[in-house]
Amino acid sequence: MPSSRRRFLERSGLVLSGLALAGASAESIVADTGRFDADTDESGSGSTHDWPMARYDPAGTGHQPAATGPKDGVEIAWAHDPPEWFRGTTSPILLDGTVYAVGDGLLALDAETGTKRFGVPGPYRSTPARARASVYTTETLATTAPTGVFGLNAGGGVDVPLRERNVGIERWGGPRGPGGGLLGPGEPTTPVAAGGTVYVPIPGTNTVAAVDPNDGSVRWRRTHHADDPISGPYNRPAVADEAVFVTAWPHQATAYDAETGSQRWHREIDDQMVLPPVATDEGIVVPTRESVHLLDAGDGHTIWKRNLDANVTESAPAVADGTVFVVDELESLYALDLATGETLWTAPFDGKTSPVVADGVVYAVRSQFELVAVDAATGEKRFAYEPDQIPLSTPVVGDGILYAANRERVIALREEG
Amino acid sequence: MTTDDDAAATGERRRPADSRRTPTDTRTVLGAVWARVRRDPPLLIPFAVTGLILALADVLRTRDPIPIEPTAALDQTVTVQFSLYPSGTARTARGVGALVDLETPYLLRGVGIELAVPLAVGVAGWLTITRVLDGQRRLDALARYLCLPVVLSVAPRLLGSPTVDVGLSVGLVVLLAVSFVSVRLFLVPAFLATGLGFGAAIRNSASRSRGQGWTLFGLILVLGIGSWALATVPIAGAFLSTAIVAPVHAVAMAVVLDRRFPSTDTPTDRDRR
Repeated sequence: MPSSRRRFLERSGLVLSGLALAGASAESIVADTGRFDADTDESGSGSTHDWPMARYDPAGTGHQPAATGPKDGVEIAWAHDPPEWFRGTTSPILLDGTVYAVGDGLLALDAETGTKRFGVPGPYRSTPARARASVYTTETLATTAPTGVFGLNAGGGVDVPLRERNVGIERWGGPRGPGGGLLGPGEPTTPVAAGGTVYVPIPGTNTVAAVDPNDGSVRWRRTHHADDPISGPYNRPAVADEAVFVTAWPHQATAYDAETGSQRWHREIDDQMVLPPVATDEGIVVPTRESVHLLDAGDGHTIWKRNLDANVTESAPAVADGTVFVVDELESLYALDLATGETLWTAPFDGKTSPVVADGVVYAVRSQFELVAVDAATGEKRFAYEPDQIPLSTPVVGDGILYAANRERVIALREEG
Repeated sequence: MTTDDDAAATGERRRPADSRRTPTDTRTVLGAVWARVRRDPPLLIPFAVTGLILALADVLRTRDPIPIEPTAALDQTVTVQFSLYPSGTARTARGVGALVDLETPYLLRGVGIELAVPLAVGVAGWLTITRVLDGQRRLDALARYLCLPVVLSVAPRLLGSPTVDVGLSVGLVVLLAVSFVSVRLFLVPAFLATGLGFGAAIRNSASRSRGQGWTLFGLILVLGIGSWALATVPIAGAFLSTAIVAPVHAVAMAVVLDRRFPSTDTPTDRDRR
């Protein structure tokens, strides 16, 4: 009778502590341990302008419907010069008026003024994902380092004298990667938060895990090519409709049940190089080196495939209002009809980029050095901005402002003039 | 000293006054501990109960949704898991940081567990030491004694354990310094349990440990490695290390102190009985 035993242990804990639980019975604790709630959308609450994870939402669309950004040109609204340890290369996130930027640590800035709320050095490298932690009053920011997955306190913890870092800023260290290897430590991976769970490829492995945002414990994990060194880690997962869609080199496209981790379907894509997927109402957009595929979310069969003769190795697509925005990393930015895969327009664009979309504008950073804004309806170039420093991260879009990490600073860009 | 201690102790009785001040060896002290425990088995009860509490705390920490950290020492090949005060080695630990910004019910639960463990360890140590020394049990002494496990268990979790990469030679110097300090402070808990203040306890410990360095260093190694080895036992590790090593530590302190206290040259009330 595990439940009875657990209840006994819960109660024993209370006897042991000699403290009465204020306003909550042991049963309520058992019932509230953060099990998966498919109706909870991590991106849909808080401020309407929140951008809570890389690519905005669990599906990975890169499209914030409520956000607006500059349209005809940008100027710096503020630039924050962070401590020396900060190295900003990945996109920040925006939560309730605070910009969180990760780069060898976590930096929290006031979104309006750029003043620092807190900052702590650490091994953290990936864009964080905001996850609701049911036992905490503040949210957990899941991030990764080459060594593993970490849960940080979005509230910043408590400043204690004699300590370099706030107490409670690092809530947990979750699943660990193998650390060093023949080719050095693994690259940090991008976590996604959805329904009270963090879905994250474990750095340096071919494993994707569902992690509890309360304590970093693993709810399930799945590995492809476990004993094959010639394979690659999972890309950023896309989560929608209680399923986790993952892709990996070589040929891998798989759907897992978000709660149990059981496999729903698995496809071997023609191309070896498979890039991060995007979950949409029409199906799962799966970009590969040369093509873009739309797979059926239910069984993985191909709905359409569009060969762009591309040479994509790092970019991810954005999807907004029935259009897929994707580059070929050669010379063009494409707008494809989500339903058919047909080209709506193309625009000159060389280099790698994972664009984001807001209020009818596509924002794409060209090979980490130039921000280009393109009209989402026509492909017309609206403006370009080249900062003093490189690299420039993919921006996130808030209330008329773009926020980006820019090497040794974090910048906010507003409409020019 | 008791009248029916081990053979070594019996041998010493032929030279009564000086033998109590003569430095003895680790094996002799452990023999005396064994004899003392065999003569008075209830000495084991406080730490047996505390061992159960530590094991239960391990289970509760593992099952609740608050983050835990596995005890780092259990991953090592061999570790001297010595604590200044008699204690066991838990298989799980929880940093203070994991308690920051918890919802109130979980905060009470988490703080309760983390306080209950050092308090139970402290009470058990105080009961065991005072029983061996046949001393008076005073609440102010208990309060001072409890400060040891509470402060020494909370402070590292709050301030973090310093980790510095150093070379072999510097590491050896640090190791020697830590060993020296540990030896000199070995008897502090016993003096606190008998009612001395912190300053007096430290001074007396430093004074009484002179000439006993190797004996105490041997005890530290035996207790530290024993605590680690028993803690590596799955599930029961916390209980075993607490129920076995902690009372040995407590009784060993009392035995060493008993031999070194001039006042104990005269038989205690229990000896008379």
